Amino acid sequence: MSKLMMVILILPVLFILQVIQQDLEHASHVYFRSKHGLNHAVQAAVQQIDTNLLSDGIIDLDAVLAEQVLKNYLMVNLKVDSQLIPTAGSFLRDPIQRYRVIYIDHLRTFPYELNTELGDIIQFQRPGVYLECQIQYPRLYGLLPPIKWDIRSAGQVVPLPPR
Amino acid sequence: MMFSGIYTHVLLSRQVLLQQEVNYLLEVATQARYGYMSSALISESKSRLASHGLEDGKLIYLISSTSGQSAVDASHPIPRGEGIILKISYPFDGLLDINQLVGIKPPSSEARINGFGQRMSEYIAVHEG
Repeated sequence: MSKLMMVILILPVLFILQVIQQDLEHASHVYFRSKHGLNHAVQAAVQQIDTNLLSDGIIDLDAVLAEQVLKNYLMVNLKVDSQLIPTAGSFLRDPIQRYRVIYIDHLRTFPYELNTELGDIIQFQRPGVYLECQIQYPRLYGLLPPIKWDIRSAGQVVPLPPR
Repeated sequence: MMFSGIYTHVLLSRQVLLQQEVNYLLEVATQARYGYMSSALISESKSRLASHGLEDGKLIYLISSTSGQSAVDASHPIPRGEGIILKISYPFDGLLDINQLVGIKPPSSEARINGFGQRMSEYIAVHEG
């Protein structure tokens, strides 16, 4: 009888631990998937060279075009709409918070160090883009406290391939 | 109920593997010197996934580009500015069938887990001379 009681008491605890472990495992997956989404968006944005400036021999980003492309790639890879609200089939549940983009133009002195509000110091050797998004983890179960990540990505103008 | 967690863990791991493979393939294919996804790249990817216990015959690779041009043709790489889109999918393989014991309906036999990504090509044609 005592053994049966022990099993009955232990089973819910084991079940809860298993559920928490699954949620944590899923969380790390969501984090890295989001990070890759941001990376793909930044990689696309830094390819948007301002052709007018390029004709004068200046390599810089077309900020307007870069912004469009960045958001487009973010929307596709994270499956969110233009308001950054998750659409059907997205692995996120809550809208993306604190969407922040900083363009590093050619007028800065390179290497340029960007000190972000989150305490990062990012060194740019060429013009580039810094992107910051706050993403909330859509918990599978209600056992974990809410998890929010400040995910950052940065990139600089992609150099031409060597001849 | 106790085994359900193990099956879910396998499912999560498979999904992570697919997504990781998508990111890796896109990273390689969008490099400045490629701009396409070769069949060799796909078969290596299938072998990698098979080494983690997935059956390569059940894997489906959907490769396309934002311009509509084929992204698997080495003679016509996707130029810089256009995106390469990749989706790898794999069936659930009955991993959630055990949930029927507690009254949860498993996904249909056609349902698949998938990894997805879109990355911009960096390919630039370099003309010698």
